[in-house]
Amino acid sequence: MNNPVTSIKLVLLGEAAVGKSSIVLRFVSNDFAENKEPTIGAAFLTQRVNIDDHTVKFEIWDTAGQERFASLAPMYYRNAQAALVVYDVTKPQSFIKARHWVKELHEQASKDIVIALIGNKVDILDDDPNERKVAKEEAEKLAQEENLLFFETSAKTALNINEVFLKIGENIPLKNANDGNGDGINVTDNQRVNLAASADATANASACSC
Amino acid sequence: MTSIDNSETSSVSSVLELEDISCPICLKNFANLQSLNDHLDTDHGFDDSPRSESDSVTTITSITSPKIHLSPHRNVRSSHSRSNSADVNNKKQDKTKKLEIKKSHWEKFVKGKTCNYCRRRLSPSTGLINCNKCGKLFCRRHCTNIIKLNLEAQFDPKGKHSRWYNCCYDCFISRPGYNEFGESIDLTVTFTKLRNKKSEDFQLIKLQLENRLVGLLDGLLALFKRYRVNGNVITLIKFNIERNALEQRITPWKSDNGVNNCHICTRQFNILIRKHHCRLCGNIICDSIDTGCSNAVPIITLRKNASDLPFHEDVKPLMSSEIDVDVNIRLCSNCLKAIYIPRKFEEDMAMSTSPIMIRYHSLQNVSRVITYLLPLFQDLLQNEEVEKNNDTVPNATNLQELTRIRERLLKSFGTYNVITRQLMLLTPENESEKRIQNSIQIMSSRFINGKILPLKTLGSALSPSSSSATSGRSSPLSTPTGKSDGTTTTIEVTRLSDMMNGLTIKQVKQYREELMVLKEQSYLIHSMITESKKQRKFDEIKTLTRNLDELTKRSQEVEQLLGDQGFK
Repeated sequence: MNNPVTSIKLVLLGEAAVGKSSIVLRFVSNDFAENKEPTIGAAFLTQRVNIDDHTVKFEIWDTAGQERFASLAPMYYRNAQAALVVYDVTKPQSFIKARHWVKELHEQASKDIVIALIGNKVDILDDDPNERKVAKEEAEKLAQEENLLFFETSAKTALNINEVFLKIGENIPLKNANDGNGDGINVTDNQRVNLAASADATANASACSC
Repeated sequence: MTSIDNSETSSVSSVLELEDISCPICLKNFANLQSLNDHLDTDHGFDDSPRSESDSVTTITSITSPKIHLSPHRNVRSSHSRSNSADVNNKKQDKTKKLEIKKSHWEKFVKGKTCNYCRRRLSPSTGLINCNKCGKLFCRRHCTNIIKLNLEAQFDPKGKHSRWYNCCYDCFISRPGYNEFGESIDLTVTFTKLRNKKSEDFQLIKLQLENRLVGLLDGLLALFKRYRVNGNVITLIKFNIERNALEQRITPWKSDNGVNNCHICTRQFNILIRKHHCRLCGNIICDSIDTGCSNAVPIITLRKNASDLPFHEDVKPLMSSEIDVDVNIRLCSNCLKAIYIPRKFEEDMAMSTSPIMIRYHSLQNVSRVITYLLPLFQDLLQNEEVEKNNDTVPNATNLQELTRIRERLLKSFGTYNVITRQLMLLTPENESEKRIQNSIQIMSSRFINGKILPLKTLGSALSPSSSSATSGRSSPLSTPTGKSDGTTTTIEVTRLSDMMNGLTIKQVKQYREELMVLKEQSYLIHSMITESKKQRKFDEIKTLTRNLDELTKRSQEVEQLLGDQGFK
């Protein structure tokens, strides 16, 4: 419990039905559901992960991919420290959308945001490799150009899911050490307010001379 | 009357038998206006004059005779059967009168001639008919219209010797006054003249009443000036005596004897229902408030409301002085109606239309133009898109037409907007005008919302077309001009949308959408917070609350942007 706890605000972006909520569900509950209902607005989930000697708490905003909720996204990625841009490896359109998201994040989000590009649903390729419509090389190229983390995952088979979050967790504290706690979002145990101490302090301060 | 005139009348009535002139009251059909007129007088009691029958007939006939014709709604197709009967008439007429229509200009039949309409080779089997007007030759099927011509073969519906003749379609439609929906000749003036003749008696009675009114009011005012201005008891008695004498001198009062019922409501007089004399017609009536048979009306009011009558007595000094002219005279409702209702009507008719209504009428005109142009514009634009997709060179005239229509549309929208604004700036005179104003505003903003949105989307549809256009294209919509066109569209649209809080309709839609999503999300976060509270996850609550604050802030911003256009 004495481990320092770092909160990471993480946002998931991507076209509708690429598996954003499924990734989160796999990561948070290690579960998978077929035929999930589309997300409305943005869902909020948390998950604690121990990396080396400290604890990282992910505050995950799982945004809806449908176009009509697009206006909500800026509110959630604006002060996020990490973003998962998800596409479906069987749907080229979703990769185009992912490119747009990456571009928008670079323009609008905070400068030191960690972006991970995720090609989801690779389990489909196990049954039929011809289903692949987005080449791994193409995605890797984009990741390299834009300085993104890149994974191909499957929420169904849990492939690479935890790795994505661990990698992000590894990348963030380093940056925090450089930048300091600018946002005040990261609260370590040391920084927590000691209620007992302050109570004493006020008692002393208000001590009357008479 | 001469014999010619008589036969004229008969021919007229035989023609008019084809039409239906029906009584506006009982819908009975009549052969001509004269019989309708007689019917109105005898059966519906419009004739209140005890004139001799023969006298009225002659006067009427002299007016009616050959001039009155109700023109039929002649259908080109159905006229065939009619033309036959008209022809028969004409032949009969021609035999007896020896008045022949000019035939010198008729086209002569030579072998090989064709019908001037269908170009069919003419032969006795197809029929060889000259149009009576232009004289050209037609086959039987294409000379079936009938037209009224004078002896010089000119169209003359009111000429003395005019008859119905066959003519070709061209002559039929080119005659003055023709329209697609049939022809009508306004006979209101003639009819009014006839009616006036018949209602002369009523006019005379009205004139008599008015003269009496003038005399009565003048006399009363003179008396009032003489006695009442510095009134004491003795002069008051004198005034009343002279007033009585004056009233009875001007209008002979009916004798009370033998009259037991009110002249108007026919109720029996008794202790409560007293007898009164109308000071204008002298009839005995009651003064019941329920029936309103008679009323004591202040003479000043009477004078004011009939100011066009030739009063002599000057009322101004009385009006300007503080003295209250409290003289009333009793008038029955019939007399009041006869004198004042027509005046009230005239006054109402002469009243200028409310400026709001004038603007509304022009607004309707503009909206008619817009509703007419918009589908045209859309069709043209669609054609244009199809052509573009087919990579064919766009038709320059089409493009010009397109630009022209769009300019007209934009102009119309501008005018519409200006009129609406002017209308809203007017201060309504009363409650109902205010209501009308409000409804017009709602209607017009709905209209603009509905109509300008397609125009805006069209505008955006135009810009890609212009940008993808080949540079060599010298159409008015190609890149350079197309762009400037686009900007004018946006300017116009923005100007129009000033009415909506400075937002374009598209923006309003966007903001509304966003607001809806925001509200939805706030609700979700709310439920998440309650859930987290239950599970005692306090750090989550903190994040969620912060997010909720952000959401509320943003919703407020959007709501402010939307202003009146938000959700109520």
